[in-house]
Amino acid sequence: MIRLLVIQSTPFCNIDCEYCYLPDRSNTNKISLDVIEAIGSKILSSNIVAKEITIVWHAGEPLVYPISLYEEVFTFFNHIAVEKSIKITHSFQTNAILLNDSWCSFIKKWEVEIGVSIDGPERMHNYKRLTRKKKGTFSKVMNGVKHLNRWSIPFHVISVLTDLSIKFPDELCEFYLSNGMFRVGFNIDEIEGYNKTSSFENIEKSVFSEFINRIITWTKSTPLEIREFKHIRYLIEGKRSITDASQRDPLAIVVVDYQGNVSSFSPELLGNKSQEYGDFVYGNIVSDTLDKIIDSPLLKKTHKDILLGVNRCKTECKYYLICGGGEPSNKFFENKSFDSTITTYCENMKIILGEAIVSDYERDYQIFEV
Amino acid sequence: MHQEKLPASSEPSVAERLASIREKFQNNQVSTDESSDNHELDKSTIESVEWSNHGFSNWNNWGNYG
Repeated sequence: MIRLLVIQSTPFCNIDCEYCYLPDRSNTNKISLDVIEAIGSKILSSNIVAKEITIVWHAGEPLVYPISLYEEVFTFFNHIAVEKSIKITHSFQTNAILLNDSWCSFIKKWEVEIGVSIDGPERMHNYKRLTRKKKGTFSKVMNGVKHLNRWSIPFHVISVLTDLSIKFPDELCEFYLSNGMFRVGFNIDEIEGYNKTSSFENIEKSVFSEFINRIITWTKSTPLEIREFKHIRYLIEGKRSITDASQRDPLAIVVVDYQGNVSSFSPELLGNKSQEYGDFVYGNIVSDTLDKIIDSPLLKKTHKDILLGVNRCKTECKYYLICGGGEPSNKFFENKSFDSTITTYCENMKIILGEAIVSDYERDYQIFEV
Repeated sequence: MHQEKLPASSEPSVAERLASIREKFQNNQVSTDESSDNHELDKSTIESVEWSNHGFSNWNNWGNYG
């Protein structure tokens, strides 16, 4: 079932972060209404859409696309939702720079979920999140955050951790808490797509482990919630299963670019090229039927190779129980193969982080103490 | 006194550690429920679960954002 639809309203981004994985972010094209209509009639109207689906507008800065066009698109999708008795939640993952009163009014009206990409206080944020002229974007982002707070619009934050920010966990948490940022997701500066280097490559494991342990302490004494901690805690507490990992299931996540090209699995794959997997496109939503896309030999081959990698994780990695087999895009971009195991992402965000959370439970429950 | 670390082969596996935690967690949940006067779930727990469930697969845990 399709539970998450990522739509690229434009590949263009108004800033130029040093770690960005998107190869085409200077392209100012926008999605056409033909593509929107095809998404509505072929995807949202299909019987493989879950009763509750989230549409994330992303893979370029979504607020570059005009409000008037979003208004048209959301109205059209809403008609389909009513007709098909499904619930659509729209979500913008944005750098917040273009947020103003008009956007906030639109966001309120449509109850759009907002994720703001911000890497922490000024020196951490401006380390990698830059304009094309290599200027920091912090003050512009905070102006957008002020708009959200003034309009009482709830939002979560996604921060990309770097070799700088992990040295200052207290400063990072104080920043979140003093700016009303209580729900935070951590990504890491990783080798992916267009981004060929990572400041995480030379980080000592003990440094990242200390960082995570310090953040755990903050989450236990403040309202701060970290997405990755909750993921692992839910697995440990039996509230979720590792088979819920949607990036390994074909079409659990569907990604449609501005031209109507359809991809799946990890959203970062679309827009990149590979000798073995082409451009990771399984069809075009305007010119192909959904059945043809589902039957794509490339989709099947990719799925098979991803599962081979997951099975290797299952037999080779003792942390499989709190991971479920890793993220396909990390494996592909780092190891050049889906049929592989360990990546920088899983070393840090699954193994070190997982070990810290497990040890925290053991301390709390006084298990295996020596 | 410092206690010697157990040899690697004697250390519990991740699976064993998770099983122990889960058992303690479930026991804790039961005792919390039993000690509650009205058996109402804590509101903050409900909100927290809803947020996570709603946002889990929807909360984009991929990539670095431009």
